[in-house]
Amino acid sequence: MESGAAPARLGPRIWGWLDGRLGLSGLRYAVPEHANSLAYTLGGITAVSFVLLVVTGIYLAQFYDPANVAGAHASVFYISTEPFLGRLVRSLHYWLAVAFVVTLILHMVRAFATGAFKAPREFVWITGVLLFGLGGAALFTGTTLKADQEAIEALAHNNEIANFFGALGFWFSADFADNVSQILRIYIAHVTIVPILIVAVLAAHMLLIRKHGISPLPWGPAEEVEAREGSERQVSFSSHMRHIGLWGLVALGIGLILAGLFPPSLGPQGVEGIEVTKPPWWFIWLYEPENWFGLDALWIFSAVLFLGLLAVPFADRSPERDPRRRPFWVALGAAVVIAWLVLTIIGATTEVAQHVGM
Amino acid sequence: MSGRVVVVAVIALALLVAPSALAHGEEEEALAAMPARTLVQQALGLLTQADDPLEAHERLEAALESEDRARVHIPAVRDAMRALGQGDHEGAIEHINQALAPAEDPAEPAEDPAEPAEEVPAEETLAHAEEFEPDRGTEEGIGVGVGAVLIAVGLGLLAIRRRTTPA
Repeated sequence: MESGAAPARLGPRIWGWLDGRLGLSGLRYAVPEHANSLAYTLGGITAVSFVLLVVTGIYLAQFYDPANVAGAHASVFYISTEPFLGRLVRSLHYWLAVAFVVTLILHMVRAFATGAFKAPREFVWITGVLLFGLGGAALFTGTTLKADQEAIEALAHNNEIANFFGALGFWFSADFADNVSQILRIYIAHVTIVPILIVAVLAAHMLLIRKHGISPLPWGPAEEVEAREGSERQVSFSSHMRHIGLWGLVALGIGLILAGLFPPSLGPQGVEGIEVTKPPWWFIWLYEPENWFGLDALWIFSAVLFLGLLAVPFADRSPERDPRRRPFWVALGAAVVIAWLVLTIIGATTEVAQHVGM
Repeated sequence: MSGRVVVVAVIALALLVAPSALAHGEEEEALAAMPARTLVQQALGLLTQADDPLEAHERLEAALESEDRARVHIPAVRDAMRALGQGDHEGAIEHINQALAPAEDPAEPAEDPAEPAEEVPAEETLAHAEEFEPDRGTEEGIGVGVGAVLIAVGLGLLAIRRRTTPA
């Protein structure tokens, strides 16, 4: 006579033990099947890029010396020549930052085009725009840390704008702390303040997606989209996470190949008082406006873009999500993207000019 | 042309030209007020990254007139200016690096023409002045190889998932 049921296999037993304590099965909630398309996975790839940026950043931080400009520059040179895989990790960190920017922008374009910001998901969009701004802060602070000429000029722009804002900008200025170098304070912002804010806002972004669900496919009239939202085939969120993980693997692979083939250069140690470089490509759209209107263009154009993006859910209020049914807003969005592209090309091709102190 | 018209034209011309002339004078004064070491470093940046010998020459000239000439080997600055005048940019960069060399030892008297700065090998000075392009070797090979494997694994597993997901 057999004594009861056969014992469960080891894998399910371990899963059961962990699930009982961590509630992992809670991640198996339903999401619509289209969540696993590439267009709806872009935000997840951005998040994976961020995690990988933290990991590579931790390695780089072991060798980085933020005490002063000379030490910072020498340590980046050291990272590029001495430690095990230092050069590759620095290069990968750079290309992951590029992946972060590109997937974030594409994710925002997709969300805008498909009306993913429409009620009740306004705050999903707003937290996304905040993440866009924080991403910009991470890129800016990261750019200045290498302490070459490009970095010193970026810092000079930062200080000029901080001084323009007086008391409001004091925290960002070189005068805020006399006893430590400004590059040390920027390093602290890059490795603690900005990432902590990104994690906090990202958590809010994800909780809001959990609450409202992934936005529906936009095609057709609003009533049709609404009716389809409840009837679409569902998959589990854990399946969506696996899908994101696999695309993250592909993104890491692309990042590694680019890191190997096109390592970022490092200019000579920067010197104050001259402007002989241009900003990195993600900020270069601001270069020509700076030529036209002076240094103020940097914060004015950035603020207009940021506030404009924040206003999107309150401007395009019709229930329609299908881009073909929102021609005005889609045309406006396309105009912004084209303007950004044109300014980027002009900025990349125009001559270097002096802006600080003019 | 009446005299009044000529006077007005001269005044207008003066008004047009004077601000830029004054601004140029102000700029020269502002440069001369800066430490020589900063000016020489700026000249180096202008030569190596902007290929702007005229502006670089101006900074070197200002360095000679600066009141704060600490940690700068002045004869080397003059040599750099001479090299620039002859169109020898690489030679000028070498001299500028020599002019900045006293920074290695802050205690060293920097401005004594009798004691020239220690000779710095040309390759070394140029290596510091020019943009650093990382080498490409084993690390890069590892990156490309591992990257290709990760892409293949990721895309392969995505394809399998797509095939096994029931329609």
